Amino acid sequence: MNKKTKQDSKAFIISNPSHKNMDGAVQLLRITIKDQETKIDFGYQAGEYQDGGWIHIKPETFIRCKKKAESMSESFYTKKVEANYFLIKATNIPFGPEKHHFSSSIEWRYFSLYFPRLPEGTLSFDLIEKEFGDKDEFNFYNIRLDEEEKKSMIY
Amino acid sequence: MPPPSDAILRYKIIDECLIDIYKPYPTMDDLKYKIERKLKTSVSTATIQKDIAQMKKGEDEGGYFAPIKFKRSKKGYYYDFEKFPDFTIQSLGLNEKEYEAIELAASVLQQFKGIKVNDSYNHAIDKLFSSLNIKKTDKDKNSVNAIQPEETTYMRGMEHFETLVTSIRKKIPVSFIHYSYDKKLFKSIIIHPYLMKESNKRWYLVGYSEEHEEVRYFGLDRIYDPILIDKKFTEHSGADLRSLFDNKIGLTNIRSHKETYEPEIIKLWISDKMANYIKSMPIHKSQTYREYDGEGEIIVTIHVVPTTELISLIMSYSEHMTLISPRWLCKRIEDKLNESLIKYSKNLDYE
Repeated sequence: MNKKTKQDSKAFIISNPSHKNMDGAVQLLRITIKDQETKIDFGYQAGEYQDGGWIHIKPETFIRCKKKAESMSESFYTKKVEANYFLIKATNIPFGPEKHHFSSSIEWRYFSLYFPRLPEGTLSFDLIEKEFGDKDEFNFYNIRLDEEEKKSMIY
Repeated sequence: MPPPSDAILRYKIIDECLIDIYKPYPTMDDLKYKIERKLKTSVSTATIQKDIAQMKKGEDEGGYFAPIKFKRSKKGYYYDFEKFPDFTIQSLGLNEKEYEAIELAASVLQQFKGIKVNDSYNHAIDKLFSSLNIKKTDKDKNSVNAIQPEETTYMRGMEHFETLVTSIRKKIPVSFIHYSYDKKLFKSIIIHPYLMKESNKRWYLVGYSEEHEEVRYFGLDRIYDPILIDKKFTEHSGADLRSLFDNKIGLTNIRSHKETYEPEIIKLWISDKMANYIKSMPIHKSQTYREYDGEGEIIVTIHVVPTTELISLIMSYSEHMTLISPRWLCKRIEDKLNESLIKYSKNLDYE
């Protein structure tokens, strides 16, 4: 099928988006926004533990997006916190409490998390596995969607 | 979905019956008899009817656009030669020598059948074998065993081969995730792809990397999730890409003591036991040699960019090949050999 839907024509990626995160072992690599979903790609290097340790993602993981104000009353605030969007699907990483155990510290894992499509005008968002969690939680803050130089439309 | 290879063999037999001028209008019983006799297996009428229907379909559905018709008065099938003169599904028109050459090449292509290069690839190979009348059932295996190239094993990332070749042909930039085995880091890369390059049984995507702002290559086994993107394509402006690989063995450059990646004169001593092998199959096209001691040992000279593959090659010949120069590269090999010796001398128990 080569025919593109109206929404498909607005499908795009953000490559290496700027963000703040709490854990160096996991890298946030790319965001793909298309159809009805937001896909976020990560890479994990199992280097911290001798046997590689383990990973999983908590099913209650969510993203909290910040959107540009749309009206005069909203414009008092430059950014407006929107509703949270919860994790729909994960590939290559199990939902907790199930775990993926690495067998050595040189192993790695590429995995993706899927959320509903973020609303248009979203400037940035936080990805929260556990609010105020420790360094082992996959928490990323202020993931930027407004960096035009990192944005590419999908063919 | 392409038809299974057994079906293609049946199509070929049906085709032979339909173009047989000595026995026109073959009936269903005739077709059944011919197929069963040739394939040495039973086949139902329903299967043959399905085969005929499939042959009539277009190429995009795995068929041949075969103009097969049924003549009630003869109770037999025929090709509509009035509209499609000389139609046959085997219209290759090769002479005997060409036929033999293609047969040989097809046997080589057959080695790649296990690799998922492309959804249509296996089907195309089956069609080619069928068209050339090369039997490939277990019973007839010997007919294609005259040559045996090295087997190609599956490499992770080959599932992206078709997507990446498409992006090269159509000049569409690609976004993908890359994992570096050396740095143990991931990176989201955007590449303007130029070429798929094979080296040491591994495939590499060569192209202009936006991240690195230069032509780079990425092993397919380290590429994840490629996405074609709608962006202006950056054409390659330098020398012919293929020539970039002419002056090296393998791909992975080693930074020299001068911090450069320039071609250097590499001199190698080769033992008398190995000399004939190196003379008959040069390790690089720049190879020249001279006799060393009059007893078979030779000195080989090549002009290449030092690569890790060159080091591996030298070390693989063990006591039969010794690097003479450049000295900085000798030192690297010496270090590696010392490291190995230490490991051997420790006699470590890895069990």
